[in-house]
Amino acid sequence: MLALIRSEATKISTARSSWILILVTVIGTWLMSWTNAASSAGLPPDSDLLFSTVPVPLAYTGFDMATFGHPLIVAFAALWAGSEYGSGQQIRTTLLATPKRGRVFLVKIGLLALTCAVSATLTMSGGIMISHAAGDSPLTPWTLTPEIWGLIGGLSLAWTLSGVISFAIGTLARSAIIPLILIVPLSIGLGDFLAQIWSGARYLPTAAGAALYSDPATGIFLPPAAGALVLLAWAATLTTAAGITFARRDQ
Amino acid sequence: MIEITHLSKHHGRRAVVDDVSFTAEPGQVTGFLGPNGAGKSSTLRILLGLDRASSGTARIDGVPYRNLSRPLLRVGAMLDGPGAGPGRTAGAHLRWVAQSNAIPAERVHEVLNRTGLTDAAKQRIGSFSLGMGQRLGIAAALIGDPDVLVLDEPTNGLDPDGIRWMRRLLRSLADAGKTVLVSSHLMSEMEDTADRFIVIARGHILADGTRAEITGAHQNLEAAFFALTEGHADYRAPADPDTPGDRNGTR
Repeated sequence: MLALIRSEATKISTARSSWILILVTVIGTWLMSWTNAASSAGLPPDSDLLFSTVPVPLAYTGFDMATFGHPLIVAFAALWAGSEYGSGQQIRTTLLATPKRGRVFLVKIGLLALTCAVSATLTMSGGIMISHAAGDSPLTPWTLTPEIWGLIGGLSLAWTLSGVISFAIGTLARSAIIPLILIVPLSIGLGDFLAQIWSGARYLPTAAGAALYSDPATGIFLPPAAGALVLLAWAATLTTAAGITFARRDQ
Repeated sequence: MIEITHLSKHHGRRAVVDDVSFTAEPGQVTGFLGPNGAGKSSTLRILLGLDRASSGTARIDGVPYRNLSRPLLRVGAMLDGPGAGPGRTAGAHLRWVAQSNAIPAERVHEVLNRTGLTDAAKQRIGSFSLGMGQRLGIAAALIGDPDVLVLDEPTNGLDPDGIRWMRRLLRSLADAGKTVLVSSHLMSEMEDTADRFIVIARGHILADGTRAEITGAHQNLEAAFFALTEGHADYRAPADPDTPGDRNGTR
């Protein structure tokens, strides 16, 4: 099992697309957070120059920047799944090296989840700190508050499960294209928009995940616990379907 | 030793492999010959655990491939190209393949050297020619120094120098006591390389024997092959009327 974990970790770390997407996610979000916070410093909370004229509670400041990194994490997971099935048909080498398919699937999805979780935590903890440091925040940016750390944890869970869902769809479809088409639009705001105009859309995976780090006072999203359960149900269902398919089908 | 016993594979009502039985012995190159769509690749994919058989068994040294632990130490295989992601370098690809079976990293350099790819170790696989891709596939197959080699159309895309290299490689592996099973539709190539021939068409084994046994009264293996597979190929151009005896090797 350790050999398989090492091997799959090497696959992730030697794929150029992995590094590009993760670096753009982290550094891009930090830069956007700084630009956004610095440009709004000194403005009244209801200024027309701000993205939203509705004042954002202090604990939720900076989380709007998640819209930048979230689709990149989804894309990373989609490419991780699709990379096995591209023109090189790497999946054959993977399964020749490790014919125990259940193990291969578990290690792949486990490493993906770990990478997504670390990337999300790094991205948004840095992004939130930068938002408070560059803006007019009364908080000490380098320590934040337990409530904010809880929201960062919620966001990390949401991004990680979005990545898992994207990977599962990519594995089922044997392609990166399908999860990119299905999940990326939802993660760049379509899911939130739909949730605003139709309450049923709150149960879509990205909107359910947004409940974990969005201000409940907006009334757009499910309560955080319900959002977490809905997102977990999506991830568990799709992961189970993908795992069974991966283990059984001809390659 | 490779043992295939009453192997069948159905796609719906169509049998792509139908009651196929043969063995491949150590110390021999066994040529697995047939026209396009004959069932060669399907048989090899089942042998290697990539596809499931509808019935029958395929074993390597008495064990189904899926039950092998660290299979690359027992079996090396190449199916339809390198089986590698185009965005990774050749060295990185072989590194993860080696790690998956806890094979020492030195083997990466050894197989790169043996396949003439040392200078291309840091080159991205996407930039490889067809022949270099084939060599990379062979390198991955050899990485565990296995006793059994299964190669599907290994000379595809190789230039004359590459074909000569492949011929010598297969011969040296068999002479070292390894079991070598090679599928091909290039009769002239296999005639020079293989010790024993298995002819398959439309999923059925048509002949199994040495060159002398297969060739019989025909002038060469190619003529015998055409005579055996007459009426079994899915498509074939009519014989050239200007070359009498084109089908029976008497010209």
